Amino acid sequence: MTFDFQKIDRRRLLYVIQLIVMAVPLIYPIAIPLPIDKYSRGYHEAIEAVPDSTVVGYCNFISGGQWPLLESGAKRTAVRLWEKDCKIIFFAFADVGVPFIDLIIEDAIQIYEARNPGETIEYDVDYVRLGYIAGLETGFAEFLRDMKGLVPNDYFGTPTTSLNMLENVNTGNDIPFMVWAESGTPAPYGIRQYQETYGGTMVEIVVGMLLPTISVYFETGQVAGAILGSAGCAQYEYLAGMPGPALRLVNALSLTTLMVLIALIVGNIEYLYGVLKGGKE
Amino acid sequence: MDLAFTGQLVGAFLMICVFSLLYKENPLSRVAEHALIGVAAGYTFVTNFWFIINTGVNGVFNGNPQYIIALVLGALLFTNLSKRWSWLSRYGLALVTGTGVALAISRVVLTDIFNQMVVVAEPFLSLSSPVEIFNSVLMLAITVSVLSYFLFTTKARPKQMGPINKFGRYAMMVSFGVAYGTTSTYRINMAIGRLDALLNPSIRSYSYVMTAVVLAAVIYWDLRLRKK
Repeated sequence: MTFDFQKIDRRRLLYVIQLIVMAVPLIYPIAIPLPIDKYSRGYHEAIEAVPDSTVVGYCNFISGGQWPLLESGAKRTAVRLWEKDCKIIFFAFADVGVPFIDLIIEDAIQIYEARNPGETIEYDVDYVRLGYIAGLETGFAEFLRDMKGLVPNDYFGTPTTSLNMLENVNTGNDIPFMVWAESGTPAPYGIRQYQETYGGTMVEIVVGMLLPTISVYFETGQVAGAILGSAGCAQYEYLAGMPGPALRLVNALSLTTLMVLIALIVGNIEYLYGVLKGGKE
Repeated sequence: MDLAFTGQLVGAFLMICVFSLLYKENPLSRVAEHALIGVAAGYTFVTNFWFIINTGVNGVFNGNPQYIIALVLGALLFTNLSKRWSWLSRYGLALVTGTGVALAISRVVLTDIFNQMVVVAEPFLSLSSPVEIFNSVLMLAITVSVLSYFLFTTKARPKQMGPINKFGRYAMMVSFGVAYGTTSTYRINMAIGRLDALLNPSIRSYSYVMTAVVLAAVIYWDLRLRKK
């Protein structure tokens, strides 16, 4: 039996090599320098500038696909806001975002309690959960106009009118700060309906793919800062002083991107060699 | 074995089944794909169903009769399933589309047009370093050239516009290149995220075993297929 290299599906072979390159830094972590970009710095500075005891809106679109990339930033943001005694209103305009709010809250409470021994986070004091709200842009506009009218009960069925934390909160004017955790699809209606209409400060947690979309709003100041993918999460972990899993993912990303670049160069050299030898283009 | 751990194991098994596509498409990868689509559809249905019950139906019983209009219009959307009555679905759809477009357009002018124009012009009012001057000039040149590329109001464009349009086209190609680059990085990032979940220390040993089992099963299936 002879082995014919030409018969191997090179695309699949490349995927397998890529998988191995990805896995190595996840199993054996390595240290690669991490520059801090202006988006993460803006995000950190915006969070630090939030006055104590501010009411903060936290809209989550993050679902299964983006969760491993963004969970670190999503949780650490809640931790840092609680450390500033902020009151967080969690809600989701995408049904898939609802179960991940559970994970954000559970893990953020664990991190908070580990960093602040003896202190606890309580429902209706430090946070409330409003669950899923349908309607996307229309729903969000109405949510900011009359929150209790649109959401009569919280996630657990308690009337929102009886929640102590929401006693003086019903419109966008009562929420001076908004965390917008997006999925892979851009949802700029948050900026349109909240930042532009009510003038509050908005920060975003998004996948790196949305950099071109976010940078436009960042330059205008409509978005004060953004965590961009696992790289942004790693940078925020460093800036907020809360080390976490994102750095490991970034190392894997750096190595894999390097491998893709090498594959691109080798592929092009091979192609050029074929053309120079008179082969078909 | 608690429920969360069992969930992690099931998730890991399905992920490995999807990764088995690297060998070739097989029954296990198809089971994982179909399970994902089924679960996602089921979850979306249940979540939205209960949202309608809790907000709309309960709202009517709690003294908000205006929700009846929304419920009726929502129900009319299902008439789309019938050829004869599908025209009724247009009322609900028209309301949803009309409201959404009105809300968006009223803000888009400020958010996406006016504010962007201000950012392009503003740096010239406060130039402080050569780099800023270069960036501002470049941004203005790109904005003007890209806009000129999309000027279709005249039938024949003046020849002098050729280089400007070409510059605009190159600027757009660079922009699309950045978008494509970030998209492919995102896909790689997603794969890394999945792999990280598989290699989580709490289930890593199980992942190794499951990978071996899935790989053996797929190779066995492939060999049998070839014999046939």
